[in-house]
Amino acid sequence: MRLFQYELKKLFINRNRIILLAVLFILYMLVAWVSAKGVFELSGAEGKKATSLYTNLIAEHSGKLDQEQLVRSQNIRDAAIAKFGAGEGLMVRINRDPELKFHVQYAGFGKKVNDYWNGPAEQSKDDIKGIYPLRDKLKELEAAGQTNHFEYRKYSSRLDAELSIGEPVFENTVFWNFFFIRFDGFMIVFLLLLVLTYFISPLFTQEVRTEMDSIVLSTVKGRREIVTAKLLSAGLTAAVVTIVYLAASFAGTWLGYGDMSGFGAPLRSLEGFESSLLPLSIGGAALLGTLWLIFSAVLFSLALAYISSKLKSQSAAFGIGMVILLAGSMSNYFSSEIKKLIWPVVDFNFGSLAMVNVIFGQPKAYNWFGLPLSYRIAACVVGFVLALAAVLFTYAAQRKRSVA
Amino acid sequence: MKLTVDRISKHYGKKQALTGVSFEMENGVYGLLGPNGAGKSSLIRILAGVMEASEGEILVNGVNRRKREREYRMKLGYLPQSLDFYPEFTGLDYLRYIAALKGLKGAAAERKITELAEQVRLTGDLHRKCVHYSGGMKRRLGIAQSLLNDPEVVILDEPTAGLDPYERIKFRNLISLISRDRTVLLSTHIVSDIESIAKETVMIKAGMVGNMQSNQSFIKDMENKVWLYRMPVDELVEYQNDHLISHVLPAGDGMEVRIVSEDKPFPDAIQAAPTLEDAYLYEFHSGEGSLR
Repeated sequence: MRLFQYELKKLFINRNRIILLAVLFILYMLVAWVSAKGVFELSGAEGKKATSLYTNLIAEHSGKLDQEQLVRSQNIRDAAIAKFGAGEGLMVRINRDPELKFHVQYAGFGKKVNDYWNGPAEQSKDDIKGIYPLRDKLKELEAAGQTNHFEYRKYSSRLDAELSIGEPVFENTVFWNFFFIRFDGFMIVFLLLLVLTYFISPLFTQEVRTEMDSIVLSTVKGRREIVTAKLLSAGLTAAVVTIVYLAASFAGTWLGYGDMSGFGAPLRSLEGFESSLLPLSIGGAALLGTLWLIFSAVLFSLALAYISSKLKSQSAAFGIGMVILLAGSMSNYFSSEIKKLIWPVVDFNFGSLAMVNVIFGQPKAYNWFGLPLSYRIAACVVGFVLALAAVLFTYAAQRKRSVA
Repeated sequence: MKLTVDRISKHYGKKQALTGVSFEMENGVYGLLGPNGAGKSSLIRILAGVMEASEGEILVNGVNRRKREREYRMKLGYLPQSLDFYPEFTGLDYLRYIAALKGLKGAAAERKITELAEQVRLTGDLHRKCVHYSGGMKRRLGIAQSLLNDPEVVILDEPTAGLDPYERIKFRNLISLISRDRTVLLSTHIVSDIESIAKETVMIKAGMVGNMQSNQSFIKDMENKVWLYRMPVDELVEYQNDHLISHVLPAGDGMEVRIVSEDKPFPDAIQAAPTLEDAYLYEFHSGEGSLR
């Protein structure tokens, strides 16, 4: 316990790091505030009035799809497209006109409901969506006698999940849409994981820098117990930095938008989670997302601990940590042929593992010996395996460590 | 505790740093004397368990250290040659941290820290950040950490390097004080440190050591090899290029020169009483010295 306290003091609980953390809190809050403040491109009272009108319109029409309202909204949207064009012209209007924004959004909601039943307009043959297409596909597989095949099991469980979640509903989720941007891959990699790389990279290298290696390694607890203390301190540091990131983002979003409506709305009402098969409310998903992000940050910190234990300088540890992080994240931008070849890297690199909206927002499933294994379960298993490997390798590295 | 170094060798790639080093130590201060690059630090690191030997073994009371690794580390105190400190730590934090690494707990650790801080005269500075300590204070803090676990074996690698003469004397006295009931191995290239306090010394040269012997024995071996001679300055300039000179003092219009030589260098040279420094010079720089 004593060792853990002192490792924590070296790594995190010291004046410089606390100042840095306070600065980061302000920075994270500002980023979230600027983002949430811009519901409309209108400033001052005009902006507030527009936001208020927009919020009221959503509140008035929340709930299941109203066909009459859908027709009205579609007409208004189509007229706007005819007048301003479908691209930037329409966007400019939407960002200044609360009513138009509402109607465009409601028309979009109508499409979501349609997709729920009929699937997307461009249906992928390998990844069928929509209640009716799923039923048709299952019938087709049953007719072909393939009820014990992976495909049948996958679509069958998807249909069950879709039916249990039910048709999408229209809710005010503006606040949560802004908040969940913080779970986006780009934000996590650059605002959280890179910062963590900086925090954790001196974990072992500082013993080399201060030439304390000799003393530490000559002591009775310098080979095993110190690793436990260091890994725990790295994990706790990762958890605290993540909590600071999310707390500051939450505070910034609240300062920017204020209205936290939608907490109890189904997760599918949230942008980016339309296809999610998780039967959760947005509030539940926020909690799950927080826990998952802490888990993936701790996992990444353990990998960084191992990197730090193998290197002699903090800058080298930071550099390699950054390269691993960015290379993994960049793999998402490769062509689909390459992605098919290196899918484990694409799906389970540290950046991907931290993306809450990808892991919990998609119905993706792997073929695990004929059984459908959801992405979130696979990510969980891979995360634990990587964490365990990092821990074991770090212990081994310290056991073999010598001072030359 | 009896510590036996048995045919230890160490190589870094093709470079041989130590070759078949053997000696024994049991209670008292032992000196490890040798020039820079002789292999002192490699040997010290192997003894401290922070580096593995390529060959040979260390025996603790006759048993291979590997079999008593934990017990050995519990009884070991080590002060490496260079030592820096964590910028966030005060002297007290540092000692508490090392105490935790050495497995000391609660009141026992606090009692030992208080006692050692007093012994190394750091009581009033324990709450200051140790990166702001002077060189001497850092060394004293270093020795305090090495003694936290009341070790039976203390290994000190160049402990007086960088200290001013006053601090060095103080430090030597401290080492003498702690050596009453322990084995202290003091590695240095400063002969006077060893001359003052070491019970026995082993000289190391190009990775090889001679026998562990008393300083008096080294000095005795130098009898009839140290000479005093007075010569003019011009002659000295030329003479010192190919002879061992351990001392030069102005004397009248010439210089009194202390020469280390097997043979009488000048017919009227006078024999002088040898010192350990003469032995060191003879061993490492004469080309004739051979490690015994």
